[in-house]
Amino acid sequence: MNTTNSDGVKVFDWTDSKALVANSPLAERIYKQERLSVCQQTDRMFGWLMIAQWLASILVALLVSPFTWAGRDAFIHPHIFLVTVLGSVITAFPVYLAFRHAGEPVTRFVMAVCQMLYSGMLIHLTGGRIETHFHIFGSLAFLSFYRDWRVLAVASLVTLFDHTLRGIYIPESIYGVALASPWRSVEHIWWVLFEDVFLISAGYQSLSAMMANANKQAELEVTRLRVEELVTERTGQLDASENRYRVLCETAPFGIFQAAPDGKCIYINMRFAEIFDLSYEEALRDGWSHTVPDDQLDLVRTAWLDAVSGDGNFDLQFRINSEKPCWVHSKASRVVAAKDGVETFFGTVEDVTEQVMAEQARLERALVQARLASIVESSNDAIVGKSIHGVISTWNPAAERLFGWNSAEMIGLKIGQLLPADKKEEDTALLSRILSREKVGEFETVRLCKDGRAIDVALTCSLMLDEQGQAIGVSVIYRDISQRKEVEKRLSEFYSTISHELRSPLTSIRGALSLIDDKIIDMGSVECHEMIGVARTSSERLVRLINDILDIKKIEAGKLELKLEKIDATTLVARAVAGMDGLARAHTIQLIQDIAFSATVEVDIDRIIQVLTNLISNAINLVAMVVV
Amino acid sequence: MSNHSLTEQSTKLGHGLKRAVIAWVVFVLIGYGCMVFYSTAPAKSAISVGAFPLQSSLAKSSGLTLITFLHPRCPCSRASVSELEELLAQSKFPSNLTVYAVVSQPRGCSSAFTQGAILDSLSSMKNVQLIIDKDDLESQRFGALTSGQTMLFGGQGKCLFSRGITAARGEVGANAGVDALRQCIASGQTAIRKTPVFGCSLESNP
Repeated sequence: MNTTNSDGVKVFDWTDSKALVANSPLAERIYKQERLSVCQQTDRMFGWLMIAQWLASILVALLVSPFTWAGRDAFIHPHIFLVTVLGSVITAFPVYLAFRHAGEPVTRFVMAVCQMLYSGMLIHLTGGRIETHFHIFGSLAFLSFYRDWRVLAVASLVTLFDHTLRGIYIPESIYGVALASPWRSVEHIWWVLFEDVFLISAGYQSLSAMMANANKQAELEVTRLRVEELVTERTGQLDASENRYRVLCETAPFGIFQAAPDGKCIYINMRFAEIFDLSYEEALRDGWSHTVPDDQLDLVRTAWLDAVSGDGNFDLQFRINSEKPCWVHSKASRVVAAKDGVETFFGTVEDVTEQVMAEQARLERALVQARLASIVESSNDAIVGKSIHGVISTWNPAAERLFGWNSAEMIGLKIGQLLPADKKEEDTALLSRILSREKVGEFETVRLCKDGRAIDVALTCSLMLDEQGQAIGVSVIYRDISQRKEVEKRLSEFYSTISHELRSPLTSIRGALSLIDDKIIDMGSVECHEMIGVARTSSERLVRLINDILDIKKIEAGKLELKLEKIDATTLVARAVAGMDGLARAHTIQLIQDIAFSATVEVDIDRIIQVLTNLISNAINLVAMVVV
Repeated sequence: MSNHSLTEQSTKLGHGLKRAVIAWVVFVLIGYGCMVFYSTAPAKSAISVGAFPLQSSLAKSSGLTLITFLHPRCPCSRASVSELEELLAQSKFPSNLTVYAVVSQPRGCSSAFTQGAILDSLSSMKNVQLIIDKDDLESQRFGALTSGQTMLFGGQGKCLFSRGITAARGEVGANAGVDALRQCIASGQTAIRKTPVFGCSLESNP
């Protein structure tokens, strides 16, 4: 029975075959055929033996007793007629059966009868000579060739009757004596039976051996049939495999070759030639090498020689066609033919130009990405990458610095952790706009830090796309605008102060001028004169304020020049108070100068007076506000 | 040798073949019977002369005289010669026994007729006097008709034995004739009466 081994290959199971054929119908058939063949051969042997026996009998009769005599007259001896006629009668029919009905049971039974009668006749003709009795034993031995106990039984029965009858009635014919004891027949028959026992036993052994042989032949036949079946199957598989191999070779997208150890191709497929941009005939043998640049050919030779002298494996990527760069990757392995031990190399050649180009592009992209990553890493702006579901995937060092969390803490978390409670909807809306491919400019908002602080940030969102243009996430750049916001706040306050400072002198000027213009005070009066003086002082102060603003700009621009002079501090204060006296009086506030020390300071007098004036002005304003 | 093994070609005997087998058996038995009948059929009985013929040229012994008549060409008589030779070899040869082997030379035949195996055998036997019986005179005087006939005469010339000494035609081996002759030599008489002579006729056709 054919079974399948672990490799999926069918193998022959001998044990099972033996079990199948033991005494099987096939073994029986072979056994019977063998038996028939033996009987047929024995029949034919007996046929020829009969003829020879008959002719020998005639010859012996002619030699021994050709004539019988009556005095001087000779006559053909009756024995001649006897052996000729009786011999032919005895012989003819068995001979006929031997050659026309060989193998049939009747033939061997007739043979048995015939042979034993012939023995009887010879015994009689030799006067019962004891030596002739051995013809019986010889005949039994011959008859045992049939391996059929019934043949021996028939022969023995014939002998039994012959000996018994002749022993009783004509003992001289069978024993050569006129008087013979009946026990003599018994003795002869006993010896016949004695031989029968051995012949039958031998026959049984022979048949057993024949049966064993038949079993072996059946086993061999079954084996042969199965081997044949296996060979047929394997041949089919081989054909199919060869067809597959042929089709694969013809349709393979890569080149296939078989090369001798010297590198000359003894087989290539069409694709091989196409890769080398050659015709099939041109690419054969070492034709392919003509398309390999010299520098690459040296590499190929070195690698090939290493493979030939080494482990037999060749694996190399090299460039061909110097004008139009094309990269190929070739792999080959040594195969030793089981039949003659000849070494060849089977291998493939693959056009890997696209892969090489792609690899180069990938490396370039990787380089760019590395640069980008470096930029991201070194950026002062926090750059955060997140999925479209808000899960953080990138967290650069600036983000760590800005928000306080490190990347290990944040990657994998939701971006919502950064959002104040009132900004969640804003963020959701922003994400929706981004995902809908809406251009979103810089967006200022507030985010939370690890320590709970809310910081002002300007964020810029952009959609991250894959190679197919599918949205894979959102990158967010956070810029810390806290300082800017602070500056803006202070600037606003500054402008508020400035406008206040400017408005104050203007108010004084406008108040004075209104008093005069509305003729509340008379022109030329002292009050008018004082008002004009106030207006004049305020305008001067206004000029100073403007100059101060300009100075601030100069300070900011680093262009402020101080005019340092030494002055008494009391004088300096008096000047400032005098400058603000009008304003104070306008608010019914009295300015009192009370300086308990005397000192000389080296200052830019105008700018210090400006400082003092501002301070007095603020005090007047505050007092006025409180009073009101 | 199993029975099932015998049925490998169990072709039934056709009627023709069956009849042929029966016919063959019948013919064989008939032929076999004829053979036995011929072989055991004795030749003409010897004529008992009663006493040693006076006109015989053979010298009668004062003791026992044994005479065997033989046809030189008779194949069956070789057995008689063998029996005679064995008898003389086995028996304690009496000193008063004279043995003649009378070989027939029929009328008209030359002495070459007598040459052959029988004469050669007889020539080599000692104590046997070989007599060439020209024109069969002696066999006629003694009344011997068949080759192999053996006669024993007593000292008085009385015929004590005149029979064959083989069991059948050309058959060598113990037989009643030899036994009877041995008894006669020993005691002058025998109880065995019937011992036919097997051999060729000594008489030529007229």
